[in-house]
Amino acid sequence: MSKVEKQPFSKTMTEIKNVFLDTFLTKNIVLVQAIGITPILAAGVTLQKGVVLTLCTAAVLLPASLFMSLFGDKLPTWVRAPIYSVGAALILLGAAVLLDRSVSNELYASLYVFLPLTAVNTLVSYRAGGFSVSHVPVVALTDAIASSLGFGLVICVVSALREMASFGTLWGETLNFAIVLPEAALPYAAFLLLGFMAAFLQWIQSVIARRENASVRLNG
Amino acid sequence: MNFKMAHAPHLRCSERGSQMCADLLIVFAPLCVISAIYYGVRPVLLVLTGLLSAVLFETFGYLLMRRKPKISDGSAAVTGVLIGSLVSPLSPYWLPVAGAAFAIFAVKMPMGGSGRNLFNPAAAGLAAVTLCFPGFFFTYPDPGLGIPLPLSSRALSEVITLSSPAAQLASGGQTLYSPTMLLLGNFPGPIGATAIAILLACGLFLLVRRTITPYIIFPYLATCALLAALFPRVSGGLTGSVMAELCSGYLLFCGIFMLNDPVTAPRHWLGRTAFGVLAGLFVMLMRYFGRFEEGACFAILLVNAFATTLDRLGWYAVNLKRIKRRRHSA
Repeated sequence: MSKVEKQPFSKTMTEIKNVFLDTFLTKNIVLVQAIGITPILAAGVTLQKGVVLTLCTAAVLLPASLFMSLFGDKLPTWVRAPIYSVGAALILLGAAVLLDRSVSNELYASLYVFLPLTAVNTLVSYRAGGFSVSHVPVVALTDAIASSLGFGLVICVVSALREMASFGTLWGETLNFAIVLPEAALPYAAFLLLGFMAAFLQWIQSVIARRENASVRLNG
Repeated sequence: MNFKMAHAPHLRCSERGSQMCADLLIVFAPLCVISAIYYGVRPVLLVLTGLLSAVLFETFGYLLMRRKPKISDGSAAVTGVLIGSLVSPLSPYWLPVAGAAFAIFAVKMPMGGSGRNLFNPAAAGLAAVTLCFPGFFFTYPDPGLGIPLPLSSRALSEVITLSSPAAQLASGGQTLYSPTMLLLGNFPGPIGATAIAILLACGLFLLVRRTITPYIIFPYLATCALLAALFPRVSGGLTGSVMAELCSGYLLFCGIFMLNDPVTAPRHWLGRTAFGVLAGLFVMLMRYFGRFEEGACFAILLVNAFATTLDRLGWYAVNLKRIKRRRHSA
């Protein structure tokens, strides 16, 4: 059995805030760490699908992270992945039934294989299997929430833009655009959007860093 | 000694670059003339639209980045002309403008402008407009009529269109065009890519001027020819198949003008050879299994992604002995 040392935690709000902001924005799970891109490329075509995938990811990631943070270091390495994958699959089974029966049959059908694939998404295996094991539950949960939100932000922006471009609708409402590009639903459009969003994030960070440098120089 | 710190890639479009671009622009003149003979003034206007819009967009992009515009190196003009010459003579005037906008604003400028783009901007612009507006591509007018096309886009609906040799290959039929017709460009196709004899002369001129390198173009054409000979799609013997595949679509045009772009191609000779072979393979695969009758621009984008890797692998393969000896002695 491999024993994992828990990272030290100072029990201050500042540290929790830093963990949250790091995973959500400055080291955004999708735009900087490039994790969980597949569902965005393949299924992030309409805003509804984006929101459903975000909710499913959160529903899987939160319990998995909490569980792995509590018991992960007591389990041998080879058991961890099967446990959280099977757990995630069970949660998704419930989510799928809920979506199919009480929300929308069409939406469930249109998500195709990408709903069950969330169980083996790198997002889950990387955050729950890697980060959470070596952190205390509070930090692990913060990280899981931030990961879900960061992923959700990106997939919702991408899918909303693609829905408007390819179908001329938003959340199913027709917007009466003059030009519609059906090809925006192809994966290459999502790749382009992700590239531009990643570059935009880097640009904002460079501007902030320059300002901070300038203020340090003024004060010093 | 003073070293200048700069971001990679370190080869920029310099004086040599502007000379190369000037060579390319000179070469486009006869292609435009041939197109004008077959279709009238309209194709020349389309090429000029592409050129002007690309130069304008690049100037705007540099101003947006708060840098001094350097259009004099001619790379933007070449991008615009390439896009303009690969659309159909029947396409509307906004089509090359849209392609140039994508090439400059999505592919070239975000990477840092001239000499830093990872992918060939013209190929990317063309690929984007082909994907977004497939209806305007692959419908070509009949060049045999000798009647100039109407200049306004509204009158175009009455023009007789024919299926191009590439479309005939894709549908598995027999090509109706004799080798002489193919060489003279007397067959339906994109504006600048049909006159095969002129294209070959242009290629020779650029080879002599060392604007394009034999290490890329010859392996590329050889791979295409080999695949065409091994897996013929038309009846008519070995030469018929090779001739039809190499002359149709814009396979040759892309091989001469886009594949040899010094910014996106490898620099090592072995890497270049592998680059050419891989490009030929992708082009033919796109033709055999792709969605469109011609996919050379997609193939070039794909192979551009491999350029750095091939460059490094080629260098390692050649210097393997030296590296081993050095490791041994150390």
